[in-house]
Amino acid sequence: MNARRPSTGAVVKGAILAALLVVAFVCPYVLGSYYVSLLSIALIAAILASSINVLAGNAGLVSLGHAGIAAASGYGLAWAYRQGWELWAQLGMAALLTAVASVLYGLISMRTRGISFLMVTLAAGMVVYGMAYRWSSVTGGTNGLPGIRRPEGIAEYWQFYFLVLVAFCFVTLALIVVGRSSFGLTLRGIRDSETRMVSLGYNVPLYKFGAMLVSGAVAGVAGVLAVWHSEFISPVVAGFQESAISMIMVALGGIGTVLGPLVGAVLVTGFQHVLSSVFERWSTLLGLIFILSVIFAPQGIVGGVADLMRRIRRRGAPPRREQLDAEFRA
Amino acid sequence: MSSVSAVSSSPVPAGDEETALVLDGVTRRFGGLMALSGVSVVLPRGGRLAVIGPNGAGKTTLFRLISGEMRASDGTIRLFGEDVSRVSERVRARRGVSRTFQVSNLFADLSVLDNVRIAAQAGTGRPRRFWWPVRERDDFTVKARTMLERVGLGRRGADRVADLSHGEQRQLEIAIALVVEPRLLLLDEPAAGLSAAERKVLRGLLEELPDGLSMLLIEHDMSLALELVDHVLCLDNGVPLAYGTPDEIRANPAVQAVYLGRRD
Repeated sequence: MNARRPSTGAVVKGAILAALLVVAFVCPYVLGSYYVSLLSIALIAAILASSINVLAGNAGLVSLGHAGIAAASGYGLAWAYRQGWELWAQLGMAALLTAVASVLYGLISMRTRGISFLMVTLAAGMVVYGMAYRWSSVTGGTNGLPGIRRPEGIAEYWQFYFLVLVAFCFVTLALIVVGRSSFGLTLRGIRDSETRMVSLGYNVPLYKFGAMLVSGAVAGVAGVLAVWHSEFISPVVAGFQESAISMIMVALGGIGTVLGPLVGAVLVTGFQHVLSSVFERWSTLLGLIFILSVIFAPQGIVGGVADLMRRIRRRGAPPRREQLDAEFRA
Repeated sequence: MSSVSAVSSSPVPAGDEETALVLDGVTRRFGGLMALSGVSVVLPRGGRLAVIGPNGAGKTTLFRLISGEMRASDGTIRLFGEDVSRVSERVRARRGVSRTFQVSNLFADLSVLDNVRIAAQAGTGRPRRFWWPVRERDDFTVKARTMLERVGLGRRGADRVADLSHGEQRQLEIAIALVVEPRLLLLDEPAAGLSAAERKVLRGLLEELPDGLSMLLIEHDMSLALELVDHVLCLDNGVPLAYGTPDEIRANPAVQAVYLGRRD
């Protein structure tokens, strides 16, 4: 029987993932509650960033309004909690509002691309923000909805951390499956050449709509976890800044990479919550790092490292294209 | 071989399942500019027609009208007996129209194999397979590999499009267009930029197309174009100038004048 041997790259990736999982599992046993909570925040941010990454990386659609979908989910949970509903009903309301927001986002953006998509999603995010701010009888307005206690079983910080870790792993695995499916391949085709896809008979707007639903579902998970973490929700979570920060996480970590959102989220969260206490101009430093990343590693940190590894492996061999062009000219 | 008829003053037949394409007075205006005017052609199933003419003659515009990328200002387009004048490009593709592009329009960040696979899975209507992982041995991948072998790119499946030479990219264009098993194939300058050896490969490939496949070809290489088709339509400034067999077109003084610049 011919069992195929995994490539060196796959082995290295597997080893890195296994090591990360072990480190993530051990963290609550060696770190204090503050840093474990910080890791929870980073993982939740990574889930929201992953929801943007699935659109940007596969379909080439950069959203600047995904915090709005996460906020819709969070408000659904928080409102239902305050009505005294059971946990399953709270989650059901969060899922319902996530679906409604995702469908609306999808419907208004399915025929757009590039800057148009970015602007439409930004506008949709601002609509959610406006509703959260103005519809105070339901959302609590600027005061938000406080006192959203976590359910039993995840009430402790370390229990909640493990829930977030499991959610992150589940979401990441699910998005890997999406990326490797026929659907994922189709989205990448749309990213590379929408005109060709249409000429092949693909219903491009429908696929974009489907991608938005998948992405929205992931953002909804982040929304619920964010409310449980802070036990509070306010219009700030739906604002432009939240969406922009998530987009920066994706771009910094590496658009279209599996670990990019996590790397970006850890870095940005670290700057926001750790570096900010010792360095007042932390946001300037973050901006500088972002600019340097765009210039020297436009594929982001993970993409840049992967590219570097590929170059090292291919060192000494002439670039394939140049070789072929030389043959062609001859 | 089936014959192709261009229609001038006589009424254009509506066509049926045995008629791949009917163009009836197809016209396209861009504001005040008349890009195409009154083009009428009947192409039977299995017919091979070359559309020739100097740059700006309206050849690519005609292709864009037939594929549905652009709507005609006037006139009717029928595919296999059905009026598709107001039908979208996507639906026309599902009815069997497949095209290549004048400038290679490929999926640059995908592998060569995935470029063809994505075309192979187009329009199959198999939602159950929607979430299935892309596998080495699934139907679409096997079909894509077979097509790559057929166009001479069998060993390049794992490479990225960016690593292909220009000639190989043109071959890949054709592989993508053919793997969908079209009924009407539109080839827009498939030999542009190819070396003599690559043109030979291309000619062999096009000569082996199934008999029932109808083809429209835009090509500036006259020797290649006239060998592959049974009829030729010559356009000049968007107006049909001449129509006939390759021998008739070669001998046509008006075509010679347009092509060789001998306008008396």
